[in-house]
Amino acid sequence: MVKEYSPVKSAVTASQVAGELYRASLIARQLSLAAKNSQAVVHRAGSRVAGLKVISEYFADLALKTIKLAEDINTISLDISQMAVERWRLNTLIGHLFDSQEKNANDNVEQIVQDIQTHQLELNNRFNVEIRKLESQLEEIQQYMQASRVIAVSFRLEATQTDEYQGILDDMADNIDVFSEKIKQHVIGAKNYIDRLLQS
Amino acid sequence: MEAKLLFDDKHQWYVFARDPTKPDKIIDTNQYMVVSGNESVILDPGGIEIFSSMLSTILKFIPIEQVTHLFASHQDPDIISSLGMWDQVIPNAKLYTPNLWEGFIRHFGCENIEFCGIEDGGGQLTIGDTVLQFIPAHYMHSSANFNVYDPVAKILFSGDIGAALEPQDSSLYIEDFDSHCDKMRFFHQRWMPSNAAKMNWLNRVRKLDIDMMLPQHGRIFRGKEIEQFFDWFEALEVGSAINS
Ligand SMILES: [Fe+2]
Ligand SMILES: [Fe+2]
Repeated sequence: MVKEYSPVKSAVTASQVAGELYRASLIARQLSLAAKNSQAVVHRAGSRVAGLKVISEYFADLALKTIKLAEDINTISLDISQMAVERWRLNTLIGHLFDSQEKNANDNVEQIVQDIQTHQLELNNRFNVEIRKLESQLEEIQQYMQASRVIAVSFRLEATQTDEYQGILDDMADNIDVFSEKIKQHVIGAKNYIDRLLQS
Repeated sequence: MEAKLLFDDKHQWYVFARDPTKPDKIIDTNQYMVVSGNESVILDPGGIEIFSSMLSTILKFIPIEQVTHLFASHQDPDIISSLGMWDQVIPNAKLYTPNLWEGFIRHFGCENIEFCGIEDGGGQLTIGDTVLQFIPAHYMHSSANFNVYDPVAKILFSGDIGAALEPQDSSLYIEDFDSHCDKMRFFHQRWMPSNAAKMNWLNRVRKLDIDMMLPQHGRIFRGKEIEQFFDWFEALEVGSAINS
């Protein structure tokens, strides 16, 4: 028997996740801006920060992927929330149909009940698949943020070896750290919401 | 669903509108939210079909615990048929709505949310540090109906008054008042029943200091467009169906 989570809680959870990821995607845009700036600095500094060229390209790519993934998760959570609301409406309807059957049993209504229950089962299965998918995507975005912390470390290392660009590179590393940490916090928030639902 | 911050000072006004996921044949609605401190009110939360979009959009800006109040200007389904769902999601919230409609609105489901009826003369509601006034707008179009006025933000939420029938993707703001009148005319002639009620409403709202007027359908009025609307509406004969 597949577990059925409360549709009310499911709808709220999915909306909460969508909210967290919306906020994360706003920060991911700042991260992407930081990445573009870093590319510009690396370009200007030329051979003096040669080691950073590849890393800053990787960083720009990572930032774009983060935005995309955050937006994807946001979309999936909206779908999940809609699915939960549909399940909720069906549950309510089934409840009313049971009431009506109790008052006066009718074969036609019995058939309708069965059809709706089949649909409910489908919806519930789809819901369970989607919520797992959501979990693994959140996992993925967290890994991105770990990678981005590593990038910050590289920037700091490189900074110690240049004079002229030391300040800029250090600032950049700080920025990357702050943005990545903020995104991570939103992702953790989203995961907590899902955990609470799955444990309910 | 599109979300925009309309006013941002010690408290905030948001608009939620133009939901692309809404089924085609239901009328497009604008929902508004006032946030002050740890409290907020959703003005005309909308129909059941847009409930999930509304919930997700609201939670972009505030946590669910801070959705403390609902306001329904009147009993129509596009205003408040989502009540049965809010009732489960925010069971401790309060619903402010015309007292006259209690027996009707409860048909949408209101087992947990506290029903707070507004008497015909109007009243007020404090959200956080913000005081909102309920301005009587009876028979405009509904027989018991209220606008919401915020004297600090100078915003009037006008419900169905000022509504326009427009395509889904239209702008949130009026660009050209004259051409906008074409989109408002039928709605007001046909849905608004009484010229006397219209004048009564105009007399009330003309005394208010308003920077922005927010209708539940169509576009937002700003600055001089508000006075233009009052004049246009005053000249318009309403209650047109008796001629058919
Ligand atoms: Fe209405
Ligand atoms: Fe309406």
